[in-house]
Amino acid sequence: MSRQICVMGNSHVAALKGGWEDGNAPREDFVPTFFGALSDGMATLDVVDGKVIPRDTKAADFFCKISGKNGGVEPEIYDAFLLVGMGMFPTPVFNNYRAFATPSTRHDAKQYVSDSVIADTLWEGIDASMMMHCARLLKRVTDKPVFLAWQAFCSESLFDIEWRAMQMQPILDNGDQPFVRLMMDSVEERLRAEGFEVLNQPEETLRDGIMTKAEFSRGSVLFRAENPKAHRENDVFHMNSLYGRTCWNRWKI
Amino acid sequence: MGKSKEASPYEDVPTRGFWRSGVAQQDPLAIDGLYRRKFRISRRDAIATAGSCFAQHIARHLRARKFNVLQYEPAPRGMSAELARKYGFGIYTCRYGNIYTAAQMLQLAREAFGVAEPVDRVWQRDGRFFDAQRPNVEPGGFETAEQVLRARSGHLASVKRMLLEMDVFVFTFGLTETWAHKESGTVFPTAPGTIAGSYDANVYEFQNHRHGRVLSDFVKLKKLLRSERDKPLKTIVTVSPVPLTATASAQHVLAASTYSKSVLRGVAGELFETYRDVDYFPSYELITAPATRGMFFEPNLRSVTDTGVNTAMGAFLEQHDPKGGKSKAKPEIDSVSQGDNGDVVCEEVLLEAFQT
Repeated sequence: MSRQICVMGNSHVAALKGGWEDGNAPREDFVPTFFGALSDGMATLDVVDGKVIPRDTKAADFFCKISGKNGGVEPEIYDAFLLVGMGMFPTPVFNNYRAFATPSTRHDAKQYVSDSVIADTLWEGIDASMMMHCARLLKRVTDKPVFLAWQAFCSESLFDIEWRAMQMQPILDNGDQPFVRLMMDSVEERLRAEGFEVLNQPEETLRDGIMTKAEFSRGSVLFRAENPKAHRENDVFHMNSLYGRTCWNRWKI
Repeated sequence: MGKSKEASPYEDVPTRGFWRSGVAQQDPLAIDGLYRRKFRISRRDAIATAGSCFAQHIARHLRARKFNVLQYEPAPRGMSAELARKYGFGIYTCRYGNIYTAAQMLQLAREAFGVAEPVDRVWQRDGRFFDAQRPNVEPGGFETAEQVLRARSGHLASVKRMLLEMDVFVFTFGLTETWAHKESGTVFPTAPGTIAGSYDANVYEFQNHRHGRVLSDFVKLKKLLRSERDKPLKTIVTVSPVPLTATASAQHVLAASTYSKSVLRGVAGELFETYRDVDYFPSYELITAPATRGMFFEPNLRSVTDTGVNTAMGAFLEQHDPKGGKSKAKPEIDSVSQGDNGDVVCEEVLLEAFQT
């Protein structure tokens, strides 16, 4: 019998939903049900009458509608939970690279600090993210596995955006992708210590280790129950169904 | 025609010159006329701050009033104020942590300008390496001594820039007691073995600087800055009202604290009287005046309360930002406290851990 997987998140759920629903199901060992809310709706996720659902009415409506269910998540019927997006991204590592060098980077910068300075900044952001709010809430109501998936790296089409290119190019030039990975590893260590499983972006979707190949973001669609529309042209954050399908094929859930 | 011989020389002394009207009858929250600025600072002036723990309040309040408080080593983007404080970001203009003595400030300036280099620059603890001159800014230390020195090199470049570019330097004298490397005279902000390093009586010695040494160190700093800079500098000196956590002088800590603060107040007064470009801001008096009856100290009789800090800074801002004014001072200060909870980083407190 297939396991029941509860998938929750924000707009990044769309790629996984599309990847599962477009064509034949990629796997037969489980069946996912997709829940989610747009923007910061998941920040109000709570337990109401034994069901997990956003407190915010608008978010709750979307949450139920997207799943095709009439109510919130009943934790006891699922064998595992998968949370995606919701701020689980190494933003501070990218944002601070040009200004801060550390013993693990290969570049010169105005300030030289310990790895801990950047690692703690990253953790602080993740720790306070919508992702961790939802993850810890689930931990309170279930002892089933909770998988947290890193948000995909930005699409390589980011080079069409000048400021993003200026942020990314020095990391590539200096070969400092391992530093980004190191910082993410430090987060994963803390997450595992809290009892969470962590899922990484599939290898074949990566460009230069810290970007996503354009073919996995091209044509990505908005997170909607019906009539999905494409994201704006220069969106580099959201991935398409091919990405979702690749994740389903690769992730060990 | 002059005054008659019978007239007392105190006849023309204003009310603020008499204890009864100037102190005893004053509201301790608003002692009138205690601080009168010697010169004006404007929002265009580039302000740098340094000194002991209490100096952190000055920087914070000036920033809240939109003064141009320089920041050469800002925190990483996305780092909270609380985490930034842990790593020594945003406390002062550069990430040097507390500078408790005039000797340490002079030593830092000399190092930044390449005039002299302290010895014993890297301390160890549990296999990690720390900057002996600011051991608290990287609480976990570095993996190697070379990494510490690389970090220091970047820091010194920022300090040099600060010393060259600032228009106003606000320095708070904190202590006369310090620990020094015997052979070289290098002074340290913390006793070896407190945060990192280890104490060896053959290598380190306790020093309790007297008036002449403190004054001389600060005058040397002024001269160094004059020789390196090509524009005028206004300096505001203050004395931290925070008593010593502990003394190594063998005196009672109250006597030792009184000695320290007296020396520092004397030096600040002499600098004020001697130099037109040095002003003295009496934060020490505002907090410790008998009229306050100790109300500006927390129950530990050492930490200054928020009300005390706000009162002192209110007196400062009333002179330098009168338009911001009395009425606006409290709400603005309160809002700062909410966003930036007002905790100060004070390595000296760590000495309490050594009390048996």
